[in-house]
Amino acid sequence: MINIKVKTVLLGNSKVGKTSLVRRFIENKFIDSDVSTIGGAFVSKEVFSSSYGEVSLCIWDTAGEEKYESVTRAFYRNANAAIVCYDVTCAKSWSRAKGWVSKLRQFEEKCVIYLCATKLDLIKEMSASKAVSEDVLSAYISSVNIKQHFETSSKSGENVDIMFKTIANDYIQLNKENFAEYENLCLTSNDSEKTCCFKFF
Amino acid sequence: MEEDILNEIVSSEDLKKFEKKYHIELAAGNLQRQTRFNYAWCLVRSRYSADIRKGIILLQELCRTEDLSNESSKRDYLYYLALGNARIKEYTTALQYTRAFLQVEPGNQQVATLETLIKKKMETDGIKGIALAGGVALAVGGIVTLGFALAKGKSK
Ligand SMILES: Nc1nc2c(ncn2[C@@H]2O[C@H](COP(=O)(O)OP(=O)(O)OP(=O)(O)O)[C@@H](O)[C@H]2O)c(=O)[nH]1
Ligand SMILES: [Mg+2]
Repeated sequence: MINIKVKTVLLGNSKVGKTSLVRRFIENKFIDSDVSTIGGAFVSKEVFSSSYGEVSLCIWDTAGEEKYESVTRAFYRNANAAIVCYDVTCAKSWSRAKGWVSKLRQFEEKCVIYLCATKLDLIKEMSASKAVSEDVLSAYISSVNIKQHFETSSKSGENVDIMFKTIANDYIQLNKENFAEYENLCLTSNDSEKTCCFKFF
Repeated sequence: MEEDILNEIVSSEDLKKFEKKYHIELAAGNLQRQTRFNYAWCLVRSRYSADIRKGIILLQELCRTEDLSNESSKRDYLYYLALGNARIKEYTTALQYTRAFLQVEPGNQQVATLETLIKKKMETDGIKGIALAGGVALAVGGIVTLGFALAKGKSK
């Protein structure tokens, strides 16, 4: 068995709710706190056990503040997956999200990109309106190769867990052949301990 | 080895890029604070302690000279001062920075996590019984005024 680590990065405007998503996923909690992330925060969590071994997400939660824009590359370099977040009610955060997507496409061709609309509860409970229409959204998604679009609320918890699990699962599905190959390699070597961080890209 | 913020290493690409920018601006006499910070941010994440020490000096300078209108930047400096000191095993100093930070922003989970990591590292390095009680401001000169500055920055 091997330990499979999926490097996942969260990107998006300041205050869109990246840290809240991570906290909901890791601790199943929502705390309404107005504390901006400094640089990048790291957490990892085992998501499930696949036939190849335990799958963990290694998550870099980045600072959305503008002053970090020029250094954020350090966090998404070699990422296997990226969650590009925007606040479902905020048009400005949507245009910033598109900016991140094009950067990722430019520098990290192999990174699988997910779009994540946050704060869905504001639409459902506060009857706020969506900043991006369905048409615009679906046209955009098909034009830039987005793996999936999620609508989430860290406040209610809606779709948060499922998003992170989907990411881990997609990673396994996309790299099945490599894992199988690696297992064969391991069988022919004498190592008793097989811990390895996959870096296919 | 577990990947975490105390072990993560700056990419040489980033280090070179920001170092170059720093020296160009320095030579031209128009060194930007952002450039200084970016370079320091790379240095404190280097694998070499000489780099980290250089980064710490830059951050301390930034801290001392920060504009009153831009006090929230001090959060960033303090955080990376703690991180840099921890990486060169100056654990006592590192913890003084996290303590000072948490006094002003008690709920900051990112800093609390860093503090926990530092304590764990101290344990694995076999360092015990460091006296911190009441001594927050001692080794880290000027940290208290910095704390007040932070509080003001936040309430804006
Ligand atoms: N109603 C609602 N508010 C949310 C939700 N998620 C986050 N927020 C609020 O949005 C604000 C910003 O959340 P954060 O998670 O700190 O945002 P961030 O993207 O990490 O911000 P930076 O670290 O500055 O980049 C906080 O006040 C949160 O309470 C949500 O699902 N619903
Ligand atoms: Mg955050």
